[in-house]
Amino acid sequence: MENIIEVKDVKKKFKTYESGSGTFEFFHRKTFWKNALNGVSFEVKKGEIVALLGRNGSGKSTIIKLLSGILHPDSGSVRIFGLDPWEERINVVKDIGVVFGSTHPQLFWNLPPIDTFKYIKELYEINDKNYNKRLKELIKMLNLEEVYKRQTRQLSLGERMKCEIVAAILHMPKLVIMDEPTVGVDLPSRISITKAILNLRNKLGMTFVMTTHVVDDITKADRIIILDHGIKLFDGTQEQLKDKYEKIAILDLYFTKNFNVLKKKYSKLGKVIESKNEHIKIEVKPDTIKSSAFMEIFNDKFVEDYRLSEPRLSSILEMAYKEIDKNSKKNKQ
Amino acid sequence: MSNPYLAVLKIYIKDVFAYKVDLTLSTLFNILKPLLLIFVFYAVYQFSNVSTLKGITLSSIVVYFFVVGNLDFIVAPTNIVKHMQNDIKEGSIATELIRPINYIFMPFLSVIPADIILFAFTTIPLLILLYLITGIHLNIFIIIAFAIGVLIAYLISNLLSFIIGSFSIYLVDVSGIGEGILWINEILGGGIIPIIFYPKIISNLLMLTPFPFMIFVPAGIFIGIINTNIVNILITGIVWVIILALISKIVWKRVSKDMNVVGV
Repeated sequence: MENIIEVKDVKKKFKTYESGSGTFEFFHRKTFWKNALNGVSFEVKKGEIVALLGRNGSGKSTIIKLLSGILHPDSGSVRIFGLDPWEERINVVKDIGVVFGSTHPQLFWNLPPIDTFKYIKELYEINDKNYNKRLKELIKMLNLEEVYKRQTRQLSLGERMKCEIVAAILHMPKLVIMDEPTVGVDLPSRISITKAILNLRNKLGMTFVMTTHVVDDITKADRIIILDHGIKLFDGTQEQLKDKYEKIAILDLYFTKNFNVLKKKYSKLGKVIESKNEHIKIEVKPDTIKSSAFMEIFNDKFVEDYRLSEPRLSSILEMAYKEIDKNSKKNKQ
Repeated sequence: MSNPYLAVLKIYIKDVFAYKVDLTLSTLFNILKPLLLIFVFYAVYQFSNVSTLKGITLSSIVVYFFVVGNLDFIVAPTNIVKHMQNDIKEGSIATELIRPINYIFMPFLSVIPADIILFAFTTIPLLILLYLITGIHLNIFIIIAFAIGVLIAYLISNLLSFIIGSFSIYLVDVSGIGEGILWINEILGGGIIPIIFYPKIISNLLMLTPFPFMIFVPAGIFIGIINTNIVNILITGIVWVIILALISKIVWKRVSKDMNVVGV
């Protein structure tokens, strides 16, 4: 399948300032260079949904700006549809849609979203028939029937974000880049955004690249890329991520009595991560637990109930970030 | 209609009309400054006990400041500076750079609608009223020359603002510089004192700069203070427009490269 995005050994640094907290210390501000990206490479194929993860300042937003042609790399190369997005910005942006989260809205604040949609229609020269059809479908898909004719400033954050997404995809771009599209968005809105993304990918083969901190957004991604301090630390599927950070499961035990004695007894199975109200939660490695241990739980008359479950993606990410910290400490030493 | 730049213009027209009361009031308050200056000059003429100063009568001065007040929005284009400064400061330039249009036109397109509305609904009716009340001598040549003079003033003023706005990439907040340039425009351009009141050598030197083209030239043509060499004066103005347009383009090219270094 063809590559929509090709990022090769991209480095990018910014000039920034730091000053003390004293009243007159702004006279002595210190200039320094911050490495935002330090040799990042990856490719994205047509129709993929890729989630860019990483903590604040890891370089995610810089990648979004490089992909949208707003910035260009200090070294390395970025190609979108085989073109340099900085050199051929106008040609490239015709076929991409960008959502900058709530930080840089594209909706006109004083006007209803319908006016921004009409503006997009004229800007991208969408004919009346296609515009009406697409708008109707997207409005229905994202439950915006009651919303899109009201003044933008009167809409909730979730409603605005859904309208931002409509504005980004109304011209049916080949690639949609989203920087934290679900920040501050309520659960029903998040679900409808995720459904819309999957629908557009499955029906039209649109490619999505999004940065996010919301774990639910990641579960629908085909690939996950984790960045930290401008370096790519992981690039693969959710399964590969789980494999990389050990097969850990969560064992929930519910006792009828003798809580402290039983807690001590079963804590040998792994690491107790929660214990309250006759219930303990233990992180265990299922491969290393002997079957006799499970039999013991099953036969224990004081164990009212038990449940063994796969860890959630959030726990895996937590582990990944802990490992990143451990490695960076090691490197510093 | 499928021109992307026309689409930008249309959405900004809608944006201007979002708050109609504010638009109406700000338009009406435009006439307050000339009223103040008229009182000042009235006092000057009375205490000097003369009927003309440098060949200009008090009634001409009154008309001059009414015209200046009417054209004030042209020489106070701090909106372009504000637009560019906000784009850089708040990072909203990113949302404009993802559109298939050249950013260099965006600050201009964002201010043109409000200025056209002001010009159509206040400047033109008030100038017609002024003509009817004072009986200024107007003919088709003066009207065309005045229209060209206003266009030159508008372009020079906005191009200067664009150049100042471009520096927000380094300084972030350039509103102070914008205000400073506004006062320089007013003083050197004839907004507070018609420049023929300055010593001849200074007024001659000023006519070589772009400042008088923003206020004194269009107002002077309309009320008849400038009645000779009009074509040459307008050609000089056009030359300034071309020079400033070239400078704007060079400055923006340089600044957009540095935007990449500073980051947005």
